[in-house]
Amino acid sequence: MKIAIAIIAIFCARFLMGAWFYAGHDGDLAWQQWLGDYVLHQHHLPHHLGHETFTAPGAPWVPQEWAFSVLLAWLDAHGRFAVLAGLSVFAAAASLALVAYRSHRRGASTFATAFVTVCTGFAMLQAFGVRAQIFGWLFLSIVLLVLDLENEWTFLGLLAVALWANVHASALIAPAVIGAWAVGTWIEDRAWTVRVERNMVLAAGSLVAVCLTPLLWHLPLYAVNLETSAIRSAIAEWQPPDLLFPGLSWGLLPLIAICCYFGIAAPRERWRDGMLFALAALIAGIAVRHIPLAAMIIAPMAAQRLSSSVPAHSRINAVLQEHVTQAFVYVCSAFVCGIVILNLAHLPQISGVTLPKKAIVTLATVPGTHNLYCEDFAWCSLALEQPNLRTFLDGRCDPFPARVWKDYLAVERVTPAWARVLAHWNVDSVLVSKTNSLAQALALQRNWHLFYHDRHYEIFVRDDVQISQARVH
Amino acid sequence: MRYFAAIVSFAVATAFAAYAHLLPEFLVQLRDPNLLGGPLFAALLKAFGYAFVLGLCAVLTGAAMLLAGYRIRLRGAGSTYVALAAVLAAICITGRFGVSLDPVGWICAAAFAVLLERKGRAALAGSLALVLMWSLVQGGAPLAALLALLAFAGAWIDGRRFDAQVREKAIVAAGSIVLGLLQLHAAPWHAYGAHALYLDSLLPGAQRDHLWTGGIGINMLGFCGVLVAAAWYGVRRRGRSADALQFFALMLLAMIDARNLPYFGLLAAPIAADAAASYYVGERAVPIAPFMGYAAAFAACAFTFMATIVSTEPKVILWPEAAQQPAALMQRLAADRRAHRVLCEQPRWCDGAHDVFSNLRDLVDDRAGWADRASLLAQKDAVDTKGAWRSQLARAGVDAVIAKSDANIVALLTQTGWRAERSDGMRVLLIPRRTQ
Repeated sequence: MKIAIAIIAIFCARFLMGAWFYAGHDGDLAWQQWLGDYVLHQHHLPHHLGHETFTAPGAPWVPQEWAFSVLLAWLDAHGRFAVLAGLSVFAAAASLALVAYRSHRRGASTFATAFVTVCTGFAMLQAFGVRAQIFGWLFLSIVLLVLDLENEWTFLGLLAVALWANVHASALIAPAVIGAWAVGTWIEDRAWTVRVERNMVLAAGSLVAVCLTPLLWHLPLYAVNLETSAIRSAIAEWQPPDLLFPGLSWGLLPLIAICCYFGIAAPRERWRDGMLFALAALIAGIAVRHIPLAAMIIAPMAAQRLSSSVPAHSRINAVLQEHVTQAFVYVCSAFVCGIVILNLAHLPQISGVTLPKKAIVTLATVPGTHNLYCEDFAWCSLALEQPNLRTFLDGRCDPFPARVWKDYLAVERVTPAWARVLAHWNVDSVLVSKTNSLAQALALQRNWHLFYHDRHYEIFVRDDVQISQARVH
Repeated sequence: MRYFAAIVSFAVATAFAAYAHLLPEFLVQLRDPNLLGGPLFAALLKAFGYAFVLGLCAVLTGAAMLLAGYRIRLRGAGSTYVALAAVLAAICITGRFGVSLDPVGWICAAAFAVLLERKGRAALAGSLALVLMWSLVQGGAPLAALLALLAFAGAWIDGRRFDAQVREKAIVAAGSIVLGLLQLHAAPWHAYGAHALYLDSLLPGAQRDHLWTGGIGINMLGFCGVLVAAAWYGVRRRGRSADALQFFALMLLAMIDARNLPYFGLLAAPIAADAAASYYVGERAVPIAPFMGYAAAFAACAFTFMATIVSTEPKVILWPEAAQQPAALMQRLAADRRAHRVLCEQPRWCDGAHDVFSNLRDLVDDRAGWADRASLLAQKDAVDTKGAWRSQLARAGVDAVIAKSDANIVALLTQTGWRAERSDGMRVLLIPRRTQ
């Protein structure tokens, strides 16, 4: 565990830098803050989209990340965004620590525990951010821990699931995980034993727990619909994984390879592990956002089996348990943490990324109400706080109807119908990235002109928009 | 008799269900003079008709599955485990199953894996003869080199000395590598082997079939099925290090490009099934029934399964219906008899354009390994409409583009002097106005 903690510290440094600069990366924080403000002021959740969008006002909305949004809005109102960033780092680090602890509990050797901790850390790295699902990682780790414990604390898992459901809809994976575990137990015991009954009750309870939110049964329905929704094709983290995706190749794949090499279920007929492995392998192939979840599920099994090849009494483990070695590892860990922080603080991909806040504020200064289309729908979240800007589609994304998504994609992918779609919806301003196809297409259109540009972004406006000031450059 | 009855019945069933369904690649392979398998299929098509070739592909596929099952039956695995291997392999094959030269590669791979497990000079000679034949008729022979190399490495790891058995494996590996490399370098037969296990799909702009495409698909289920079976029992076996090496190598190849998935199914599923069989060692048995008896049982199961899939889920583009056939756009382009260089949004659509239409030259086709770097970069940038893609296209001399009707390149080109010459409903052929 001590070596694993040194490794977790390095990942913490990386997570910390990601969280510190995260506000400049993700437009979603803007709509979450807007939602949190709404809840804090109105004391109820919105159930429909309002007139901040011109394509789908009144569309039903399930604001599944409401608790995270309220926390974000409250902390931001008190100038404490750093606290939320710190909490996100803590959640990711605690998830990693629980992976290491579960491995240790299963008798994994020092080397095996450290190795799977590294792999899980890599699986988490790309998905990390100040985001609601990061807290979902922690709740999943807690659920998996109580399943491993198999004692009277097991039912605390229901509390974790209920809290999880209020933070993020990924809580819907909990009944599947607990159910697979319960079925595995049943097959192992080949009878209705106390432990089978407890796990079955836990599985049934988790189904109820995911409804213990202000959204009630609408949350599970929403999650089920999202799994089959067409909008997934437009969202990066819903894309299927690929071997070239570092989270898969450096994180999950080595864990899967260890399991395939040594075998996880047969040695003691651990059907529980086999069922969870099958579930993890399946969900990992559906979307990249599931890769950290799959890694957290599989890692302790891999550590346990890896220990059969590198047992606790092997030379490497003996060396790793010496005080001198541990001190050396901790010094190295501190050194690497320093390098990570200093290096990433000046890395353009981390610290140099900015959202088009200035572009949107500039557009908002133009008199009149504007119908804004954003090439990346998350950017339009920044427009929610501008009273004279209405969005085509923004970061809330899920509640927008399929026809709006279809039209959004027709423009974003610059299909031959893109100009017709903009005209149909009476869009008068378009925010684009300078390097993408849509910017090229708009530059060639006669009835559109460049209104704003900076290093990364451009805003084109329709010729009939009355601009009372000079074009901004 | 049962074996042949099963084959014939499957061939008839498949022909009835899938008649007139053809992979577009088949058209290419048929005309590719560099591939002996193509002319062979062409001759069979001409002499015996389409149904015969379709049936032949089904028979070759079934026989490949039979060999995959027989491989672990020879190790003493019970029928249950052989059936498990057959089912997993069949699911992995389903995504690519159809009329093409792929089944030739599948049966060669399965037979080679069986021969690799045998000892003696006959097996050695048979292995090399098989690789030679494979390299002549189909482009997947480099896989034999990889399998042989891993078998040699596994034998060496197991034996920890260079004994007679390891020497045999070394000879097979050396021979297979020579034959595989000869094919790769297109000499002396100029056979097309440049796809090199589809590793070239990693090149920018190259055709790449992804294993995971979002949601739950047949490829994903097949891949996961083999993974779960392997993870349940583990592929680590005393004295069989080659199994683990081959399993992981094929797993990576399948993840690189889904066109390798059938090979993963045929070669890795038996390894996973054998791992299960070896765990329940009490059920081990030496095969005692005649080969034909096992063959009939396995073939009937596998063929029925595949016939069901083919009849319910045709996964090939209809042919010769012009509306679904990219060749119709090519025909239109070639009709003016002038020389054209064509960019296909999906490199696969350009397969064989040069062979079929003498005045057409593609920028990049399925065989990205043969394309030069500038062409690959132009292909990637143009499809992404990124960078200086217009000037890259001009430099490459591209004067025709075939792309999906709703692709961004279509909108951008039609804004700047190109026009849609013809559409097949799904794709559109674009040419500059001046070339009309």
